[in-house]
Amino acid sequence: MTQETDLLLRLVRASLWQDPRQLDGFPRLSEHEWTLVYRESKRQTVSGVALDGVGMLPDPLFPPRQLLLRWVARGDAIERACRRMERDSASLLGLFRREGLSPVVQKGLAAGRFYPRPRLRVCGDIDLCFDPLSRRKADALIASLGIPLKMSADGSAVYRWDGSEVEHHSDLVELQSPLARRRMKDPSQLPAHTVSVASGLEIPVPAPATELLMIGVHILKHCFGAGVGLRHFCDYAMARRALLPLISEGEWTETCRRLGVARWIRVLDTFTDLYLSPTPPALNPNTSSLNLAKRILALMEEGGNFGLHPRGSASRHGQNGPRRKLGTASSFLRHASLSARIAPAEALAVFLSLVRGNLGLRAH
Amino acid sequence: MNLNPDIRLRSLGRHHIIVDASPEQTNFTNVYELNPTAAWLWGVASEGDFTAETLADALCAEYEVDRATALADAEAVIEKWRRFGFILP
Repeated sequence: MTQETDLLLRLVRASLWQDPRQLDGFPRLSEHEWTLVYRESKRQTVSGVALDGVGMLPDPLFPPRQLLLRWVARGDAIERACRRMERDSASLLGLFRREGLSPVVQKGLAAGRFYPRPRLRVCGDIDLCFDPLSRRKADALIASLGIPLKMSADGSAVYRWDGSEVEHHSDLVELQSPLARRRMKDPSQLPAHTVSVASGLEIPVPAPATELLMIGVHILKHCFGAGVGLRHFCDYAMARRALLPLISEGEWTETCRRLGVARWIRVLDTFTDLYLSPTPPALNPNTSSLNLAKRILALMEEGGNFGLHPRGSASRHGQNGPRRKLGTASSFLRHASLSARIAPAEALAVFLSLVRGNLGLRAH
Repeated sequence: MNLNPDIRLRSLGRHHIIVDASPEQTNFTNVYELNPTAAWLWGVASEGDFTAETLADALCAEYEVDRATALADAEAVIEKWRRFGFILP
């Protein structure tokens, strides 16, 4: 683990658990070292959360003034973006409600509620999941407003709603293995409930087991190809703390086993225990989960969130469709042995899907 | 008068920072650092409607300062905040 990752993890843990003791023994850093930590926080999409941790440091250990001002400006921008997304979500969900449509909110806005300071979590898109019939109606409704929709490779519809990017999905849990898909329930059958987020906005979210599984499997997808960042793991750590007590242990274990992700969830739990827990538990150093968690950390350090800034190579951001597809495929192949060990059935299904996609065998 | 609700004071350690992200120029952000007294006054002003007189009263109650000096300081701070757009027109 690099020094900047180690220090970033300490700042992030201090914020996630609101625990300044995570920063005991934090070293006095040079301007260059602070710059590296700040850059890493941006690469891993946790600059807002890390800034909260910076605020818990004793004054003599603070970053240099110019860097601090830049960091605070970034934190402010993150918070403004979250407020905008909350406003846009409220108006969009209101529109769908008036039309009798009840999407479930996935990830982003919903994941923020697990954080002690939700608006410091870098927000992404507004992700909404519909049952198949409602999905068609929702796509048609947006198109009828003259808003252009683009269909993405995974079948989701993408458009801009005021200042936010929105995605309509048909899958709550992004599993591709045919067996897992058969065993998953239709999203329309899944119980959803309403929760309140930062602005007091009420949003519908999946049942606890489904929501935790959705977050965990989303990280798996990023590990396979798109690049994984610390924010993904923070989402899981925070969601796990809030949701696991609401799920019976038997139900959770059985669900993960039936869907072929039991090993992945064990690795993910080990990762969050090892790097994000306020008090790391004693772990057997020879377990395969521990070794795999360390390989996942290396993957995270290499890629960063969405693989936008891979170290030592050109960014994938801004690449056109075919190049991006090839980039995802080559990234998958580079980490194929890891993928096969953490979720074999899913890895095979993703591999076949990438082959089909790159050969143009799938119509979208 | 009232502070611009879009602009918030952020305190980290001994640093009190105001970020003014202009909506018209999204790539242009002004960042200001306030001294502890100005930051404390900001806290008073953000409680609601204020004038130079109410800020001067607050200064006199909190610090050992005579009324004329407090009023002059409050007027100077308000003038600066107005110039930077921190106060609603």
